[in-house]
Amino acid sequence: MSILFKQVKQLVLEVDEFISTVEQGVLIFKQGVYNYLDKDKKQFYDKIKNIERLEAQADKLQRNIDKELYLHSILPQHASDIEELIDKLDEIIDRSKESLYEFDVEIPYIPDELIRDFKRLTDVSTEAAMAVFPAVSTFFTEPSKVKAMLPKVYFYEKESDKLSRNIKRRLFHEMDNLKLSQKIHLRYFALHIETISDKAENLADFLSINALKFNL
Amino acid sequence: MITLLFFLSSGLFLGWSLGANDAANVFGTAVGSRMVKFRLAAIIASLFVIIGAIVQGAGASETLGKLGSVSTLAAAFTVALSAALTVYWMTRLKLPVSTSQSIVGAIIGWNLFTNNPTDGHTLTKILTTWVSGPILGAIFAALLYLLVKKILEHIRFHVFYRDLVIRWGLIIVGGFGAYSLGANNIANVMGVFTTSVHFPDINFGIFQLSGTQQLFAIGGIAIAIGIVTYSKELWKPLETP
Repeated sequence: MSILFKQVKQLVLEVDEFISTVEQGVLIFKQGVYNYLDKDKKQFYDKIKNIERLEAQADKLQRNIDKELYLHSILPQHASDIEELIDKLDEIIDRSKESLYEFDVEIPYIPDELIRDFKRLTDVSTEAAMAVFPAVSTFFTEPSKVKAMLPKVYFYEKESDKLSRNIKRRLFHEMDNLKLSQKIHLRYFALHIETISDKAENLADFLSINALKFNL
Repeated sequence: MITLLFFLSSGLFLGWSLGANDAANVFGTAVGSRMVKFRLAAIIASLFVIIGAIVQGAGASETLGKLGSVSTLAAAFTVALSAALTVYWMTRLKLPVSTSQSIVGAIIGWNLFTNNPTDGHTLTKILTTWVSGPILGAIFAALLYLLVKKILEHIRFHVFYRDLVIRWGLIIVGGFGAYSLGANNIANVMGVFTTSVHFPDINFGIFQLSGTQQLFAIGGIAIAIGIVTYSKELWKPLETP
């Protein structure tokens, strides 16, 4: 049973560090996609290394947080909720890393006329994730204020859907110069990028429901 | 000495039953919600129950003494045993039971059996507390809930620190509850013996223990043993899902 201030303080610091690590991971993902689209290979590989390091750090923190929660029986009635929240956050950085790996492994050909669209999709999709992080921090300090912070996440997620759909429409309706295999390949990359905002939306849904539970 | 111990055994049995049964009122929700471990709760409850019994047990004992005449050791033994069997039986059935109601019933039963009068005024006073107790408890619970909610709305607290504060709060309130349990209920356990058992005062230098306080200390230890050995089972129904 945790009755010592020091143990709780350590856990608070680890949770803050975890949120910050995932946030950095999303920023690295965004820069990595930009580097790929700008054909800056050196920077792109640098981002892959960075996100690998951040993801490993996030995993280590996640394990520590889970261990501390159960070992010291902190928030015993909500430990599984906290664990799920941390898991949903981790999915964001996992997905970001996987997407950069897919760019690295599959080397998709992106026509010049779609580069702006892909950059815009990356901006908006990562923006959804960036909007959910402050809500996560607020969830731990003022759960009653979380709900008011979530519309931004939903807005960017919907925008991301629209942009992704627009890319797919352009691919299959306008770009006759591309082979079907290339179109299908790019369709999946639009989906990979869009998934970051979907993960943010999942997390927002979770926060919305659980913020009520965390209010006394 | 052996005779005295034999007659006191019913009171000690009642004390043990009270500890097994009533500790759930004090720490049940804290342990049931897994905020406080049973071992820690049992240690704090045991310690404060004994302190409460010694320091402030005399008041309630006086009121109970006015209810009827239980002046001999054999009478005290019978009354305490009746109440103890009632509480033990209910405890076995895993039903939280009132030790006060059991001992009052036992005293009235003894009065009827020996053709002694039951003091109506004292009985009314006791019955009033049985009605007002739950109502006051409900009012305090509602008011304190609103107060704590308001305070937490205005203080920016990390949920982990809030958990820590609530945990300490439960331990402190549990200690206070155990103290009150000892102070209030030792009369039910040992009150009937105060007129028939007389120990000489003991002087420890910095403080002195009167004969009644020694009797209450023994009762308090019996309650503590009840808490440690048998109360855990009864705390389970109070667990929150």
